[in-house]
Amino acid sequence: MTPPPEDLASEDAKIPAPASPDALRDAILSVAAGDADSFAGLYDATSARVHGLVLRVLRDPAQAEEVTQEVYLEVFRRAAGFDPARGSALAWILTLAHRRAVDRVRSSQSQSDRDVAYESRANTQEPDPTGEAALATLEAQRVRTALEQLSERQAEAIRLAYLDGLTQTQVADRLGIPLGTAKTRLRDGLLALRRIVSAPRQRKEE
Amino acid sequence: MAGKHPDPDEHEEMESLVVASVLDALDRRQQAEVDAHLATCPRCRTLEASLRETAVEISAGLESAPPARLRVSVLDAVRAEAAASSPTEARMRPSRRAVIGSALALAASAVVATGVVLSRPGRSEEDQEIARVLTAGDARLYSTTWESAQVTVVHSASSAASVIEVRGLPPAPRGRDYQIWSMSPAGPEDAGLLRPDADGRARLRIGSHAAGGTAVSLEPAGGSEQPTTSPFIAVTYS
Ligand SMILES: [Zn+2]
Repeated sequence: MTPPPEDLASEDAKIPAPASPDALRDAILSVAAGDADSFAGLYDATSARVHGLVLRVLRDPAQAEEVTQEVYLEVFRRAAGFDPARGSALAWILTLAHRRAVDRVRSSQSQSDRDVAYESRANTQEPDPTGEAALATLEAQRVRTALEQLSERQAEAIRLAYLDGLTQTQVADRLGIPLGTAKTRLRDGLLALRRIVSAPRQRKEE
Repeated sequence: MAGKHPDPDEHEEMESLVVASVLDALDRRQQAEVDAHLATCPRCRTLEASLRETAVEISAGLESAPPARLRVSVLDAVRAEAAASSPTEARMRPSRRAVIGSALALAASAVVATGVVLSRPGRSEEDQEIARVLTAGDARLYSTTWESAQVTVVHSASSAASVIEVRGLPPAPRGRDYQIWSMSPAGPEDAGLLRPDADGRARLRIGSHAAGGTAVSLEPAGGSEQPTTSPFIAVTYS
């Protein structure tokens, strides 16, 4: 085993470890040139994001693992098609990841099967009753940070579409609202999120 | 749908479709229509690109490190594919990191959906303390990876405590120990030694009054009063 480096700056390992957009871009460009070490670095810098998103959409650890693997193979195969002028590396990777996760949701099982499976897994799993519930709560708190600045209706619509993998038609059905209203909430919600994200932000650290 | 939007209503409709496309919320037929339009409309392509950056924010905070074995499996698959597609050039050599991953994959245990291993029945007092932190109303979860190790920290300010858990952490080199530091305004405070078991796992509760974070460094066996090396894992509570 290789010992940990003794003088690695702590910034390199800060949590959540945010790889710089430039570093990710360069890593994909190197991968496109066939560099294995760059791919390992790219995986290390992004796999928690990819797996976290896929797991949230699929709610099934085994499937999330499979899909995450597929995503990275696709990243590898399509690296040469990545155009840094058109967007960030992370957006490119998460776009591939989200699409695959949603495809899997829609092809494998119905939404309700998936929910039932998740429920039964969560309810019947042996150990500690506190654990799973506590973690679900933590997860909910964290995802709220990005969406919490939207109106609850907009945030709910975006959550159903993006994190639960519903189509806009399914979002309307689920919420019992007309399709036009669902579309408006999604559009206004994402545009509002864009304004919030691109507004000058307060420094989060220190 | 032509490449221009002379009519403001049509533009609004197109905007909705681009949003739904970015969220992957269209059925196949609608998606194909939008894709065809995007191919001819620079304005909508610009909108799409900017919204894809925005969508990245939706899943920020959902990070979940995959099991260590997945890393091995992904890198193996990529290496195999690279070798197959270009037999003579650009053959990929196993990286140092990949080798570490292979060794750990043998010890990889059951999948846990999230970073924290749940307590077992028949819990000790330590386990109960840990459960208290995990279930605290203000508990927040942070996770990261270092080499092949997955690191999860749950912090609860109201409990004045955190729980750190590692999986896949290689044994400390001979004569050294991993030491945890509670990062207080007064500086790092000793929070104990992190001793991974044969599977590279360890979990510890950290009492942390007013702590702003947790760090782990490699120290001489038994630990130090103050860190003598830079932490290689550092979590800043937000
Ligand atoms: Zn257009």
